[in-house]
Amino acid sequence: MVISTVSGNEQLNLINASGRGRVRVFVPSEFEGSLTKRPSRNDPLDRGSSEAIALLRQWSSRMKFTVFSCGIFMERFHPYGLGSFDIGYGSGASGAGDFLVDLTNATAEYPERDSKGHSVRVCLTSVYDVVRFIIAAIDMGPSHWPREFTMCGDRLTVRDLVSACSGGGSSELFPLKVFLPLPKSPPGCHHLMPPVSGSCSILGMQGLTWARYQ
Amino acid sequence: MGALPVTFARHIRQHAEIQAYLSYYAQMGEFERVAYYQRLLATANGRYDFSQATLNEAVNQSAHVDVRPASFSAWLGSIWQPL
Repeated sequence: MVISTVSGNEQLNLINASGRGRVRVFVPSEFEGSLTKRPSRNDPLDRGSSEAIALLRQWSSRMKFTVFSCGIFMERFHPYGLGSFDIGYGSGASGAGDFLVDLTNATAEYPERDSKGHSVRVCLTSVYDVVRFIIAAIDMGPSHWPREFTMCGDRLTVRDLVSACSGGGSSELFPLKVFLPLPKSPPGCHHLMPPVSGSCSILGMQGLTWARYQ
Repeated sequence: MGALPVTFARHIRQHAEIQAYLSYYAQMGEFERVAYYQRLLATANGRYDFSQATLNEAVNQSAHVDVRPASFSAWLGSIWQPL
């Protein structure tokens, strides 16, 4: 099994190498919203995703693939930004305050309603829980994995997300606090190594890069 | 020492307003801002929302695995340390 966290041409090469190397299951780097919610064409946030999925479909008779959709990483709202976890550089949203809420400057810019007037909602999952969910899925056995798994740590309106970040109600004052330092990684690994058990080892080349089913 | 108050500024954007910002910054050639508003527009269009979490359901039904994901408020609490 290969779990990818690279995108673009690097991922296409990884897919082809995996197919030729008789890898049985490939998990592409698609850790965001559900496949069904993405534009079918002219998606400005695609970043090679549709090309990777198309290539995986070509290999699908020999190599199964499953997308793990997790919504937004909670770590996008970390005061040091998603980049402090070595994630998100390709998306252009790795810096602090690059998306919805800027904790450092105590500002938020966000849509509250969609084009039909409904509250905008988002699903959120911590990267640590994404790892735990994937390990659980591996432990349950990949033989019956669907084409897509969706996982979620929380589902909130964007308004409530901003309220949580700002510390309370609509006209609140924002209490200044100290950010905890990032956890130190074990030797050879980066940040995404929660204590886990089971039959899977995760080799941290770039955070959540590879998992090998043993 | 108590916590220091800081005003949190909210800028709520209408759907059409985000599209207008997108067009403006595209014309100005400011592509980082274009990408920023593309993310906001995608959020407004529900890209990051789904009502059914199939892996949560599978894990909850399994007697062999256990995952209890953090809520957003719990996650926020884990990265903050009050003065």
